[in-house]
Amino acid sequence: MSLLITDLHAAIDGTEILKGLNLEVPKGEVHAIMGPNGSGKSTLAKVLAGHEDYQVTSGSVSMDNQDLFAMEVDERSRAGFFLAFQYPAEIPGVSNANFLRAALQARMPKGEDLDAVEFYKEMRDKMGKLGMDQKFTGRAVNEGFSGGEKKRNEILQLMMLAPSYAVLDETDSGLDIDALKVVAEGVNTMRSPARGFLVITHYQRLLDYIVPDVVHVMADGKIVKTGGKDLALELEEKGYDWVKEELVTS
Amino acid sequence: MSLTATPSIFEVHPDCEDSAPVWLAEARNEAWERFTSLPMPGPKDEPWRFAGIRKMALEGFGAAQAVEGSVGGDENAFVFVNNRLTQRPKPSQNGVIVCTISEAAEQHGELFRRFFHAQGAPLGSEKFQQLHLASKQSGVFVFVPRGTVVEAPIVVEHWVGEGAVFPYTLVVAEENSEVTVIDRMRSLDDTGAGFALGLFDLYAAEGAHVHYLRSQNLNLASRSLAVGSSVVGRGADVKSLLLNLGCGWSRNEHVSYLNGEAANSDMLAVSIPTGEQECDQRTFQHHRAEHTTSDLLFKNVLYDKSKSVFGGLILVDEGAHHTDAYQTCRNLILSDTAEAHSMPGLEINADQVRCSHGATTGQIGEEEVFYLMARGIPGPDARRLIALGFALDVLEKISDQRIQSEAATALEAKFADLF
Repeated sequence: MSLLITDLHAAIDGTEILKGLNLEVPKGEVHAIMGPNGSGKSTLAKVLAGHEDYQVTSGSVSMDNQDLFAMEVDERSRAGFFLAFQYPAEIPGVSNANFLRAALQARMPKGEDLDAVEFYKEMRDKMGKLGMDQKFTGRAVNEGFSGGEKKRNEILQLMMLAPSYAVLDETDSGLDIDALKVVAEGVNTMRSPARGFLVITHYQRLLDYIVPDVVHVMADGKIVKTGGKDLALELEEKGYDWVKEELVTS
Repeated sequence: MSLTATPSIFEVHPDCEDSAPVWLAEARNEAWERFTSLPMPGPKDEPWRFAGIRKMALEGFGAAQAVEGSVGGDENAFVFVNNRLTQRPKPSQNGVIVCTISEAAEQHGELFRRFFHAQGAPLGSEKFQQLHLASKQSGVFVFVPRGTVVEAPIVVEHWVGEGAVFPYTLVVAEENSEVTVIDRMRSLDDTGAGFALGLFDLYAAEGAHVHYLRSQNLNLASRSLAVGSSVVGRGADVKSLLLNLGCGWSRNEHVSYLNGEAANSDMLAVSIPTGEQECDQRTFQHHRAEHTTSDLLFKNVLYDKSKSVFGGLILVDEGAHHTDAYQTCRNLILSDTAEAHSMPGLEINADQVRCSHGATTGQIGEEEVFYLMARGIPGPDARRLIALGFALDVLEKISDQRIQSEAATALEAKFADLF
């Protein structure tokens, strides 16, 4: 059981960004993707979620043997895929609670209604764990949230929706160290043999708190190096140029 | 439009109530004269620019006739069916006058007369305002004495079948008093063509607070024309919300007069036209004193081949320094065939004022839809949620919880029926 990406090519406006990417995230593992700006990390996240700006030109992604690309954006989510956005959208007038209820309701069998009391209890409980004020239940989704509040809100959604595979796109950007710890703790509580994580980050710092099983380095639309968690430290020390040079010499 | 044989309201001067005082009978006769002599507004008249004059087709309406049976309206409400009182709530607090317009004319003559039809119709509908004055009105007169806070909202339901009705809501809040009034406009059935020619005048004397909701949800065969005013005294505050959910054609004209120092008027509206509905709104924020504030936010969500028109003017008089006045009309268009016309306007004759006016027209952002879909919400539900959110956002500006929750329920019900 895994999220299996095979020879993935994807483009935006005719420019190829992903150039034959291969990656497998088995359930129960946390994989990190590191890489310099422009290497295609965020493109990978959006392609997996199904953003229409990106065209998949070849390759495949299977999620527990289901063809991810055969599914619409919302179907992918209901099938167990989750993307924590780098820049979450603001939805004026739609309260966080109503948004999450709609997302959970969409997962219910036809004709069955979500238990509202149980839902609020669970949401309040999870917000407590993330150090989010209860007032965020009634506030419009992400509207006027600080960078850190938005990221906590992404993790709240992760916790509420409990996906099989979660991709975290630069979840550490814009976070101070305290917020980073809270967010990482939230992710760590979700680690389970039934769930795979792909953590995309530019900096090693996040991986001090969400310790990965495997680290991949991405450059120019491909995975160019794979190793254990020490690879992240090595990258931090030597910089991305080291990988690029290594590529050139190989 | 009326299928009954009743004569057109444009042709026959209705009889006055036998009980009406002489001044009212005279005022009605004079109004009928003025009504018949004033020309019908046309598309070339500036206040009627972009208006679907042909859609109005008001000439065919006769006066609504009495109907049998009850409608089972809200037991805490004044209920009028086809312009006739059918139910009244328990008497309200001591000292507070809440009665029908005709009772007010009989029992509170001098007091009532000072405020009755005192504001005219400066935004284009003088002819119709005269017709309203000339006609038998339904609706209530609310008078809240100095320092009194009316706890329960005053609720009025107007049920409309075939033909014309003439609702009137006249609210007078004396110094430092507070009151909430809710008007509901409903159809007796889905097909009867009604015409609600209504007025609302909201007076807030020094330090008073008036909260007002007008929730119009008549059937698509019906028309609605409402002429309203907020007259705000020193340090007083009027907050109004107009919900336009029904009617084939509807028009609101709403004037705010900021008459005393530090007066405030919030003018809010949400309209959700679908099909071929047309919703026309004209506004005027007139700042006549220093340190006055007004905030207008009108939002329209347009589906199908619907149409909205907004024309607004902020006028800051000479000497009305330190005025803060805002006027925003926002249209969310959900089809290629809907039309939104916005004509914001501003005229400033004083110094040190902060004024802004603007109109935006846009579609649902694809990034927002993507975000909701990425959480498993199907596309149509995501769009509906975003459109509902766009509308509900207006309610954030409302302080009265009862108005807020009634309006939210009405909007949610409207969107649940869409798609």
